[in-house]
Amino acid sequence: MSTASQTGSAEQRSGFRSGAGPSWDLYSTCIHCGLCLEQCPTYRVLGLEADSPRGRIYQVLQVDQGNLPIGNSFVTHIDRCLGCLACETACPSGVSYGQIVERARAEIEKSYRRPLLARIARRYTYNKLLKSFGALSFWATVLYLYQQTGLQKLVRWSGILKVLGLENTDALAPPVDREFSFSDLGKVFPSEGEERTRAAFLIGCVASVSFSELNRATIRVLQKNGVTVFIPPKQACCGALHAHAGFRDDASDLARRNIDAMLSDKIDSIVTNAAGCGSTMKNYANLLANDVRYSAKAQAFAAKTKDVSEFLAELGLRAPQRKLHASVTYQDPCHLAHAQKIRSAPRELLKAIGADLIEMPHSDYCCGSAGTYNVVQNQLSTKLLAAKMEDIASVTADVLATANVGCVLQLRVGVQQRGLKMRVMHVIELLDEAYRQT
Amino acid sequence: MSAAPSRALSLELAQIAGEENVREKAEDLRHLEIDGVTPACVVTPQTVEQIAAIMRLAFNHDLVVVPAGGFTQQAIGRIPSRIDIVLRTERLNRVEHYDPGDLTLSVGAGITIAQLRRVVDGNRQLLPIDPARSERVTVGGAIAANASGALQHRFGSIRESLLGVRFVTADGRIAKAGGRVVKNVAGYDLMKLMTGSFGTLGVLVSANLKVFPAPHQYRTFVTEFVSLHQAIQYRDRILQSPLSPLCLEIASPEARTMIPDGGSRGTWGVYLRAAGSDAVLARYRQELGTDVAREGGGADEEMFWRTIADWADLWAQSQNNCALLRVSVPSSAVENALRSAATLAGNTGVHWGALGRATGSFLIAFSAAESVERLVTMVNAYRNALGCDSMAVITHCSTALKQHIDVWGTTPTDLAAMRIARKALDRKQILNRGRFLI
Amino acid sequence: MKLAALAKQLRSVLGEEAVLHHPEDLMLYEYDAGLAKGTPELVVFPKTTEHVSAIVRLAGARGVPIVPRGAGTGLSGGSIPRQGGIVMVFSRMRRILEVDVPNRRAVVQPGVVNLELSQAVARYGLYFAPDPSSQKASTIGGNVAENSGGPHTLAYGVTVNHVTGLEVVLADGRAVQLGGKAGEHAGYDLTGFLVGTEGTIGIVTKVVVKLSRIPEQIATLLAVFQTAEDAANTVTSLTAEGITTSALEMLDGWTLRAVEEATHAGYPIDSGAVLLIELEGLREEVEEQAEAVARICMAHQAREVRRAKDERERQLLWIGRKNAFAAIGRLAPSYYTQDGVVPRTKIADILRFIDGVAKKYGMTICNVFHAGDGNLHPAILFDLRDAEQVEKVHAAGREILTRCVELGGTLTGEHGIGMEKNELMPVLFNDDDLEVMARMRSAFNPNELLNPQKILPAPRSCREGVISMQSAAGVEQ
Ligand SMILES: Cc1cc2nc3c(=O)[nH]c(=O)nc-3n(C[C@H](O)[C@H](O)[C@H](O)COP(=O)(O)OP(=O)(O)OC[C@H]3O[C@@H](n4cnc5c(N)ncnc54)[C@H](O)[C@@H]3O)c2cc1C
Ligand code: SF4
Ligand code: SF4
Repeated sequence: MSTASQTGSAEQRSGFRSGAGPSWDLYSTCIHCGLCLEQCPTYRVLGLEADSPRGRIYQVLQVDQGNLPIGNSFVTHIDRCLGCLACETACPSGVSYGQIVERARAEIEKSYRRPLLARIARRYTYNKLLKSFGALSFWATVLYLYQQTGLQKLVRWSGILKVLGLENTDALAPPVDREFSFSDLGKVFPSEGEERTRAAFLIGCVASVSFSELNRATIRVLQKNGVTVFIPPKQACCGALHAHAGFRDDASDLARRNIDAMLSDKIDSIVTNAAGCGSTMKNYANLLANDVRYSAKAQAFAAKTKDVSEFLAELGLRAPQRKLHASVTYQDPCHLAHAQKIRSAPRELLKAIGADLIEMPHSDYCCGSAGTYNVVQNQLSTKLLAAKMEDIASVTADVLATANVGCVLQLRVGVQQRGLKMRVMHVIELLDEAYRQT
Repeated sequence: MSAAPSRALSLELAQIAGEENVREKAEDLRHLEIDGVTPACVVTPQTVEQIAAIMRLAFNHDLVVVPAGGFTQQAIGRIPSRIDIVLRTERLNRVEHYDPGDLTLSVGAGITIAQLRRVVDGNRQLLPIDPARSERVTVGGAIAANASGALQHRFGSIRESLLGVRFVTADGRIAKAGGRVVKNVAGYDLMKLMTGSFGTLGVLVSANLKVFPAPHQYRTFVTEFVSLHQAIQYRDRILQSPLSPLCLEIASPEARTMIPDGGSRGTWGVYLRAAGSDAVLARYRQELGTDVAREGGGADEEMFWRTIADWADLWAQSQNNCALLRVSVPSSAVENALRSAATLAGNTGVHWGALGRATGSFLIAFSAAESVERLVTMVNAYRNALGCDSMAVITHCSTALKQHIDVWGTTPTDLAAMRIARKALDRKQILNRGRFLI
Repeated sequence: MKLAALAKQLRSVLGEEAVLHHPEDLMLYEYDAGLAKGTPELVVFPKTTEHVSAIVRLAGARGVPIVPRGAGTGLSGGSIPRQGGIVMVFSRMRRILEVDVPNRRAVVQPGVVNLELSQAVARYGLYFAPDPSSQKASTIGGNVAENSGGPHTLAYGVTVNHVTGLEVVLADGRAVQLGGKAGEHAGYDLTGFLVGTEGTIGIVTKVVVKLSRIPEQIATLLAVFQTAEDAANTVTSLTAEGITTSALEMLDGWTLRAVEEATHAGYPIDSGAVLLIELEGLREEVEEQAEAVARICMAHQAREVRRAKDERERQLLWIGRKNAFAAIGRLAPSYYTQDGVVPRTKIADILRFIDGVAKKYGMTICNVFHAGDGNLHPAILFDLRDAEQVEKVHAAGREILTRCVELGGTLTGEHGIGMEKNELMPVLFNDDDLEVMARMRSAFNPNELLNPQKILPAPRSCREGVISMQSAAGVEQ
């Protein structure tokens, strides 16, 4: 329910000037009941209303009413949001929080001047790096060399990272597989046995750099299940990181590129193994709602988009010849559980290959990875990871499975730091292992 | 000894309550003596307004008032230095309101528990309060003394069934709190405050209570054990089972001699009372297994539970120089509380028995022929053994014993906080002056 | 900044991070889940009892009021500062200090979230019984202060029935213990008295709660009726026939349609009302009672009685119920929820009365409520932007509450009086009643620095018969 002061907004001048900011009909659905508070990772860690979903919405309202400037305070609290969308799951009133914060960020990008260095770094990451596979593979190569040549050890040893305050960030740098999936672009992988369906596969950006092996595994598992897999050559980054960071225009560009590249009558589904990409792609319809040329296509695209676990569970998994004998605990990635409401599919798959599924407490609490969050908000991310590891350590399992690349990376750091013996794997890697064991 | 109120005052009392309802003659007062202190007069008012007028009078003239119902609990408390007026509530014995369909009723504070029980019996309903001497105990007295019986196991203490109260304050205001309905958070919960306040915060004049539907049949399962430890183990098994009995009592070997349960000498008894259909009772049999020695129902069973309610009185009547203690400890401390009673009683040469809720609230009786000294040693040692977070209040003993020992013992509740409450409602401490623990 | 010196002192005791004073931070503590507003001058985050004591002492010395706040899910403005001053937030004082499995007790700090406690003890087969629909966010401290209930408190009782001890900081800054783990203690039951006092008597810093056992069997039934009257009469019969349901909730036709649209839980949209009935306990008992419930419902012209087949169906029905109010939000831009209670024999009467009120004012009123204990939650739909409607809503709300009291009921069953209904207290209590309550407050809270102007109405001289309701927002379970 709206409040009296909300209605009086007309007299004051809204802080949202660019037109990109969230509108009254979007945020006024929030009845400030507070039911989302405890589900919000930043609220749990900081205990501040300003870093809760309700508080962020209230700040948006205050900006709109001209009571709060788009200044340091507002930007800090909006920046801290992980975009995990746990609040959307919790909200009884159906508030589209994700859209509110995306729009708030878009407004921030337009009307707030960040410190110079931050500006340059953000621009470079979101405009260049994540938009072109070329730049990405360049940096990937550098990163790869950094890791392989022992330079990493040297740099760490010299304590320089500590001095730079980047120590934890370094642990998070994705270990880079040598062969990048970019080389697979344009290929078609035939189904094994009878073709049950055809799917286009999104190789992702961060994923394809650091996890080309995972992409290969995904293709193998799909093939095993009678899926012909297309890797459309012109595909681009899904735009998730851009949209979350407030670069909505860039995200829209990428969306159009992907629609052109992947939407086709020949293909039944568009599959991804990255939960963040999946949720963004399912949201293309919204992103391009005002684009007359693309809105219909975007809807069709969104309808065809499937997370790989959802896709396989719906298709019906072909049982492996031998069961996997391992106890597995499963961490729900935010962008799967909250953004896409997919919780049972990965669990069903794990059970189907014979895994002994052990539930950890709070499996749908954020691990702190959240796209680039673990780099940008390192301290908070570290706290979230620590809390996550508490929950994980309270159960005994051989494997810690999750269904998103970013989470795999983050959890590996956690497991390593805590000295746990668990293997951290993507669900698909486990399926692949089950199919490949003899 | 009290200074008799002046002639003028007794005239005023007579004016308020009617001459026939004020007594000042020694022979009318002897049976109202408390710890050797004879009251100056006794008044039996007929209306709440009369009580209010009496209290105003007492307040203005600083007269010490002892509110009294059935006069069954007056042994409790420290030795009074003076009693000016015993104020009897027995005339306020009407059922003011009974809504069987809502399972609620309002009664005057002077109605006895037995009278009230007959009223609700007529509607096949159950009064969840079953203190000792129910023929004489009034509802007001039961509340003031927080008296309870075996039904406490299922229904909790009186506080849990008390929906509302009306009382007259020390300065003669008629006030109420709570209400008649089963759920109510309007205003302060003075019902809780009145419960167990031993008439030091106001004169209770009416109470609103919850009643329950009466079960169609009852069954009692008697089990006996050679050791306390076994009895406690059996209790724990019941507490961990899905069963939810009405009553669950534990009885020491000596206390059992007062109970017609056909038990063997020297053994501990556990009495479980269940209610329900044949199928439900069959389930009890199955869960309790072969431990059960005897099982009974019907009129005998009713009698059996009456005796249990009254056992301590029987004990006190049959033994000279005895002290009854009301004990409350956490469930896991029951075994120790009973064991130390046995050990200490052995060491001091005191005869003892205990019976009550197996989960922690029970009565314990100590008697030591003619030796007050031995009783003093026993009670002190016993209280030490229990620790100061537990309750061990003497509810019956000789005045001689009271001269050597505090009847109240320790309490974890802050005494200064209690004084604040007392001061708020009885600034001059005219109600039961000197008898309460603060 | 007005309280600069105090802020400085507080920072030195609590640390830099624990004191907020910038306007952009303070504005986040001017609301709760209701409609009332009030902005604090300082916000503090204690972590220990010593912190709380220190804050109370320092503020007391300067005559600055303090309003405790849990999660701010209250619906009656309990955590809103009416006179500026300090808001003391318990979001960082949230440790479960002890779980005592043999005694079925837990000792918790006030900021522990209700559901978090139940989840933490689930592995022992235990849970914390009070289940306000806000349980996934509301704190135990808030529950204690409001004496919160929930759908299942019908059988298990409200918060006060599950608290055996407290640690409380009094107005003079002293931390005192009240009660403990044992069932009973000598002396006044100050623990019981303190529960439900909405922070006006003392600040709760520790709570000893009872834990309950998870039952062996649960049956959830949905009974569908043609009219709300039939459903109401069924409630009376169930009560009278001795069926002890653990939850007994009623949703009327309006609500049903909204809920079904929102959740697709399988609620029939063409019926007049449904009862959502839950039975818990021993398998045999539950089965027998389920049969009896079905029989009684059918005797009152139920169209059908359906039983949830499995946990999934059961959850679905409950999700529908718990999200009912949010779903009602689809019917109108705003709504205002009342929380009055009537005896269970008067449910049909009050529903008819509410219907009359709706007609009289030309408004829609949805009913979804705890029928088993007669605790109504009529939601009056309106448009907040229309001043005339707002007037009508308040008038209608007042009429309904007054009628509840006339029927032998009360103003609030679980949401508390707060600053929303304190001026309505004279409908229920006379001057003497209120005077005695006021004495208790001024004894414990002499300068009225702890949560001022809550629960009790302003003294009669300033009251002058004006009953201006600070309306609470229309959310509830
Ligand atoms: C969607 C929704 C559903 C709800 N459902 C129910 C329901 O089913 N049943 C029900 O009873 N209520 C319900 N409520 C109301 C509310 O959730 C409860 O009153 C809850 O107990 C408040 O807890 P809180 O932590 O949010 O407290 P707050 O709202 O922060 O504070 C409530 C009161 O407690 C006081 N307080 C908080 N902490 C302390 C402390 N440590 N010491 C002293 N005082 C303190 C505050 O000053 C205030 O007066 C609901 C609310 C919402 C929004
Ligand atoms: S998206 Fe996540 S971090 Fe952001 S407000 Fe919602 S729950 Fe909190
Ligand atoms: S749960 Fe939804 S409606 Fe409630 S405060 Fe959070 S965002 Fe707002």
